[in-house]
Amino acid sequence: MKKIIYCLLLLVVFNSCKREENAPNNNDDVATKIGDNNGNIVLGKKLENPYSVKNMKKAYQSLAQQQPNSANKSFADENAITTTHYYVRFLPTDSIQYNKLKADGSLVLYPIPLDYEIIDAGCNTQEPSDKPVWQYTAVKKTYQFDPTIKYEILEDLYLPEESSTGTISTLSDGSKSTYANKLTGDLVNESMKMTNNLKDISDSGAPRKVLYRPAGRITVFDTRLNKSIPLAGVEIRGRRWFNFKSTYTDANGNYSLGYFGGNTNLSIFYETGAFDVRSGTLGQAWYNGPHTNDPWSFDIRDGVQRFYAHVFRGAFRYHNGNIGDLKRPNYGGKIKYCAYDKNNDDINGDASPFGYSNHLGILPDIRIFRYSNNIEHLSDEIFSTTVHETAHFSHIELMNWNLLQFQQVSNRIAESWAVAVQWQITSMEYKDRGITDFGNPNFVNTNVRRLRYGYQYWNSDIGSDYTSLFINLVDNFNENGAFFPLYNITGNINDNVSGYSLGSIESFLKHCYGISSTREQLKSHKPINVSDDQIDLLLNNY
Amino acid sequence: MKSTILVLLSLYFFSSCTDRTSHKTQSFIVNNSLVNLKLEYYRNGVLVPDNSLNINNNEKIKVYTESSEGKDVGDSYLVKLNADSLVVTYFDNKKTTYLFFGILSANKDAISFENTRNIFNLGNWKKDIILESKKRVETYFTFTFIQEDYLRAN
Repeated sequence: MKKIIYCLLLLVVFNSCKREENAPNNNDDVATKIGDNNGNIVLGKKLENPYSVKNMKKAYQSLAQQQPNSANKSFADENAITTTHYYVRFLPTDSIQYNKLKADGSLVLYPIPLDYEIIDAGCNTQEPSDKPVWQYTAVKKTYQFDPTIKYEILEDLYLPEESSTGTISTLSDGSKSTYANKLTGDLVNESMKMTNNLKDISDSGAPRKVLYRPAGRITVFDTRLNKSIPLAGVEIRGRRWFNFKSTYTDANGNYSLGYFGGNTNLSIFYETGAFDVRSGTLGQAWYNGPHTNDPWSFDIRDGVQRFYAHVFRGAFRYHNGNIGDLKRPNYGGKIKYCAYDKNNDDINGDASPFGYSNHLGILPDIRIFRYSNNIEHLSDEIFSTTVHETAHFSHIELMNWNLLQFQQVSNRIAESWAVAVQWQITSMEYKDRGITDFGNPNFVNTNVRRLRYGYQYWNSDIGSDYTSLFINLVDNFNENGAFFPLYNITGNINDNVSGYSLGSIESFLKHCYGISSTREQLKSHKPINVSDDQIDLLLNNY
Repeated sequence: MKSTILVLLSLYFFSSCTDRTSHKTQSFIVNNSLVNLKLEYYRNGVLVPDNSLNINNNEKIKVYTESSEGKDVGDSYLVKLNADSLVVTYFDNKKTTYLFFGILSANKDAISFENTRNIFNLGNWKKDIILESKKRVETYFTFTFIQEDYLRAN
């Protein structure tokens, strides 16, 4: 018996879908590891950390000399400045450990060190997609480290707490501070000055009279629409050293963060509550924006960032937008959309319920590829592929995550369902954005072949498991006799069925395994204007 | 023990990918007209940029490749064109106009969609399945310009 289990374990581990993971990159030369001249982020020199306990104590001593009374009112003595946080970095060895770190809500992870000058801030950043890299952040002194995940404490920090009520104080030099306690603000400012980080707290050397509140708008260029559209729901992070704030863009792509005391690093993280977009197998897809105290708006015009943004759009629509009466995917954890900046001639994307990054990785992954035949997928293709693969996950969830049960669903049912969801949500998205006939039987101007002509040209000669079955239950178009010139096909499916919605079908989809069981379910749940004969006539084509 | 085996079996099956079938469809244009020719596509009377082609006599050009999931007949070159007419110009500047489905033209010599020599009609392309297995199919679509096409031009 043990031999059988061992063999099964081997089968699981060495399943052919597995993608190889590389060993962690242990190169500590951060600047050369991350920085390059190929459009990725370029780090400069290491900065003196103003929040280190060591430097804060120096600042205290300096303040005590300048304002002995004030300093003593704030702190009983220099020894009150002790470690409150650690500046740390983690090195996950695989997706399991990476997922653990990501799932820890107390961690705000960055794949770059937080104490380096960023020379090239406005360009793309991209982690090595299949290699775990160091993840940097600050944690409270009381943080319980997972002993199984490699980490290093880089520095002891003294991070005074900001005002929880939003109180803004005026400091001794006239500048403003988010610290409720004026003397705390003075201390931070003094440390900034003493560590040569004056630009973070001043305007051309003069004390900053107003606080900085980052705000702006994020948009992405859509090749189908030939214009830029708001990127809704994406996380915008502000970081001033170890002070992290984040928010999400609204439906118009607008965002506004809380107050910062000075120059702030702004960045986009393609992540939200229910899902996150990965830059390949591992690594968060993100964009490192400017270090600024100006409003920051960004139009993602092209490149891998545009690819990430459209994957995010598709996922966000399914998880948060209007999808008719379909249910939301509800995995219980974050679905990982692994966006590969790679070519794949065989598939645009796929869904692996047990994950590609590690078959024992517990959390599932969806893969989306940027290129096919070395041609970049257009925006509506990326969007609709993302929706299609998400539909598979939602379908699996309908089966109560019963692994064997879902495996019994025929490919034709599983794929035809995902095609129909892809058709509905993508059509809704582009109709909302002005292409009013998108997905209709007369619409051809898309590279998404199963959305062209509303997929009404499908017939059994075309083959495959990706049929128009569920679309035909919903639409009110009978393709029988209609001509689809791009394919030189005259429709031959007599479709007199309409009145179902995908949401209504979804309510009994878990009982549909093949055409026979689907037929029975459809008859049991048919709309009042549909007869059993009409259902039989339609389903006989599948 | 049985439950352990069941779980491991589930892991194995469930770790299989959802989309496993695939296809690849390639389109070729062959020039057997005995002369060199040029293809220029138009939409609403305006030249469609980037789609023009020069094809020498006896030359075969791969004009489009489409591949993705699903064991089915993929897309041909025609879906890429976004055009409603084609003007073929031969080496001696003789021309022939080809029309997409439903397009009318004042040019009485224009080749209609229904004509067996119209390149817009996928039915006039030779379809060859060059590979077929349980999970994959590869298809060639080929359109060949022949001497008759040149002789028809004016």
